[in-house]
Amino acid sequence: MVDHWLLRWLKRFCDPILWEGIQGDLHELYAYEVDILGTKKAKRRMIRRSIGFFRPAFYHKQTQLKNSIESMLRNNLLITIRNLRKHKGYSAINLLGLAIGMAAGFLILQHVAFELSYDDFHTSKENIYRMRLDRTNGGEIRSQWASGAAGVGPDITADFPEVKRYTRLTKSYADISYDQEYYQVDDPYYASEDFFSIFSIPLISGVDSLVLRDPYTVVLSQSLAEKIFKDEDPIGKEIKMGDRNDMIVTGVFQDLPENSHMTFDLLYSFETYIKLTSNDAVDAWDHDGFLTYIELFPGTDAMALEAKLPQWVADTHGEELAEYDEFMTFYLQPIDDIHLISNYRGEIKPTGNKSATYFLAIVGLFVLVIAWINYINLTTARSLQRAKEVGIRKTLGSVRGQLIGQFIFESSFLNLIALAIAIIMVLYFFPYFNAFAGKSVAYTWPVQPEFWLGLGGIFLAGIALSGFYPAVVMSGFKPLVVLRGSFARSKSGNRLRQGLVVVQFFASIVLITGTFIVYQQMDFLRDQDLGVKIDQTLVIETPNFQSDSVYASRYSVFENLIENESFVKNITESTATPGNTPEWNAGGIRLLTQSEQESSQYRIMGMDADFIGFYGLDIVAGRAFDESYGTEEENVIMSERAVKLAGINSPEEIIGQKLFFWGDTFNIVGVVKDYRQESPKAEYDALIFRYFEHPGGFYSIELSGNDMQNIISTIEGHWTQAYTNKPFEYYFLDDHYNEQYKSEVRFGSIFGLFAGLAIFVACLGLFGLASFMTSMRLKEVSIRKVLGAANDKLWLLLTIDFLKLVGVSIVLSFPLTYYLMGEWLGNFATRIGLNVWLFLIPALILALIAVTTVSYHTFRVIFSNPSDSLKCE
Amino acid sequence: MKGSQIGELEELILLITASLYDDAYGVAIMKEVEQKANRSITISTVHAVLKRLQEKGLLNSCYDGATSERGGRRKHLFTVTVAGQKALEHNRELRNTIWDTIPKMAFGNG
Repeated sequence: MVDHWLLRWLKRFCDPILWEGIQGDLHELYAYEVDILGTKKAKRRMIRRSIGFFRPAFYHKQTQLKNSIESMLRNNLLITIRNLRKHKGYSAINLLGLAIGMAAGFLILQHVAFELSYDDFHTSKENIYRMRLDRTNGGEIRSQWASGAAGVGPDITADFPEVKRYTRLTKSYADISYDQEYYQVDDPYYASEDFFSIFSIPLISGVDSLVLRDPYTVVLSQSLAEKIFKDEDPIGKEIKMGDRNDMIVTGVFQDLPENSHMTFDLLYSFETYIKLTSNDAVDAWDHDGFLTYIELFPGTDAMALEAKLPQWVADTHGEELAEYDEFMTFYLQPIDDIHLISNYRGEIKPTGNKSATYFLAIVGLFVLVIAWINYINLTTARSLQRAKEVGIRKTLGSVRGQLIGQFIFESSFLNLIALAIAIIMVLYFFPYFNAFAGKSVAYTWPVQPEFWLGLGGIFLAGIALSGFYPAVVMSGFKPLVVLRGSFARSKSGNRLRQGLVVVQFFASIVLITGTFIVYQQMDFLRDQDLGVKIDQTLVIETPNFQSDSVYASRYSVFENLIENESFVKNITESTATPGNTPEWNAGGIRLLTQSEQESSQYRIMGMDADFIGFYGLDIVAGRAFDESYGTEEENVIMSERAVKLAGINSPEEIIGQKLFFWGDTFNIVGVVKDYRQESPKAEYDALIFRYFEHPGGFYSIELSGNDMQNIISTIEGHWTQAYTNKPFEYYFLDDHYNEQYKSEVRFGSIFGLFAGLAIFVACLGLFGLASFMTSMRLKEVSIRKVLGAANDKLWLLLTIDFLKLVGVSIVLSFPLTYYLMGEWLGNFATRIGLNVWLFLIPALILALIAVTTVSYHTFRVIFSNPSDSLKCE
Repeated sequence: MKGSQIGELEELILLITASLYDDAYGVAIMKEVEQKANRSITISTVHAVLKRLQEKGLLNSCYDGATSERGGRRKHLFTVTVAGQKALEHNRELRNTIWDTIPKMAFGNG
């Protein structure tokens, strides 16, 4: 017979029923043609003939590879669904656990990814650094600045060829007006020429290198421009800074994204600042409050540059600094790190917390791992019920690979359903979660491909790992053992399952203890004696006036109106209120008797004579300000910490001494007891109070009464009467003060939420496992009961195994929790001590939850009728 | 109903299958078509038509009669079913009826 590849293909192609007839016919014709045409020609004709058979009519469907996979998958799916439906309870627990774990993991990881994404949008971010400054006195750090001196930027650009360009910013306090309309602008800054060249903040109109070049120019954010100019084109329009100068709008920039460490709606040109103040600001090194960003040429080693800076400081300003025994150390902060690593004086907006972010990432992973462990546990624990299936399949000729395929398929299927549920949950809860986490409404999904790849990787790994182990275990059953009926679960499988339960509860206990300690610390901070009275106090920002005398006369109008109101108990004016870091930081201050090298830096607050009494501050020595002395402008009051910084041991000793402050001499008339000016999180500050009749900054008004809505509108009425159309910006001091805990409260609640979810998922797993384990021992318990065992003994018998596991996890978790929470508490100046109760209480709570979970099943078994389970044998 | 209508080639092969009676298989049918109808047809077309007729229920098939000239393979033999017979008769009657109605004048040679 002719052998040709085409014929072999035809054989595979053809329906086998038809094949013999076709092959026979082909052969018959061939044999006939060989005689008359010769072998060669006959063969050619035969091949040509056979080609005619490749038509759909003869096609055999069953032999195709694709179809065999299809039918295998269909079979796998069928068995999977049958199994899911047969054990609805387990399936529900499994699915719910997985879905919650995945949803929680996703939410938390996207939050972490967002925190890590700050300032990633700058195209040359790897070359942009902020020059951060530490000022030291006698080798000790006195103040740490995000914003340093103004002269630094131009000087470093001139002295180091690796610096391409710089931009410097400083805060402007002016509000603006246009066409008689006044607007309060949050965070207006002056910014120098190259700002828009360095940062990738797109300008909607204007040229990046020009908009901030000239004095008296201003660039607005898109939203502010729309607010002020509505449909008009803002370019070339003039707005007033305060009511002083006309500023020409030269550009409009796109609103800054949420994930930037910067936020502003308005930038004046730095040239404006130079015109408005003296020219000294341009090259001064001794006056802080200027943010300096530098862009390096690509390929520059920033660390090497940073290492050269101390020598540079010594060479250029070493002598004058040495006079005061001072030094300045600069650090280059990569711009995309600022949000998480930096929290210094003069930050543009509150920064994030690196350790909190990483804590949350760990929490997210914990929740995911707990969910997958649930899956492994529940699946392997139930494997006994499927052992017979495996035995029969093997007897019927299944090879191990097929069984593994089946089980992997099942787990992937279940994981995918869980993933689908998780996606629905995430879509639903996403906005709530973001509000909860303090992100703006405009916040959208993460866009970085790394995030999605990483997440996909984690999910695939989780699905593979959680599916693989049960598959290997179950496919390894020996048919003979299984089918004979004497099959018992292997010891090692049990061990592993117990180990996994320990891991779950280990993670849960770490989370619950962490939550507990975070909340304890929060309570502790809130209950701190602040040393300052902040409730029932309304704070209003003082208006800006060109001349002090105009302000003073307007103020007396306002004061008169206000003081006649019955709900106003008291009023004071100061440059800072509690809950804020005093913006005024001054160095080179010393007692007149001391040398310049003993001078230090202090935070200065300007205030009228009522401030100390208003806020209930205690005087430990000397006296408070009192206008009846008439010369209070020459006097200062210091805080205890400031006295200590000046090198004087007791408050009494410093009274009557003279303070040398920027060329002037002041009498020290009083010492005020240390109080929490900023927040209990921070150390007591070294404060100096100076007297001004009208310091400007803030009015604090103490109120009585409950109808705040009404009170505020009354005050606003008086405000308008006294100050006409100056912006009325107010806040309640206790709210404002508590704002400072916001990040901790938020951290605590996110932590608490996910700890709760983790525990819930772990308990779901324990619930399923307990249900299985106790039903396995149903007969044993029944026999014991028949023989007269007491219920409490039976309960103990069934519960003790689980309790042991929880106990082991608790003990194992102590060191990690102790270490982690110690680290976290290190962020606080005043903090709770880590005592044993902080660990025991959450542990006991968790043990109680675990026992309750297990008991549901143990009671069910204990109270079942023994005859029900024993009658079958 | 499937099979109530058959095409010209189907009808031809059905008739030949019937006429060959107990030796109706691929090659034999092909040769009959070539001889009787004097038209060329490929073996694969014959098989395809046979399969189609079988699917319509007009043919039955079985395997029988291995011969050495076929390399020891059996023949795939076809026989006409009752339905096949009916279909042929139906076609024949239809034509006869129509033939009967044709007036002699119609062909112009009467």
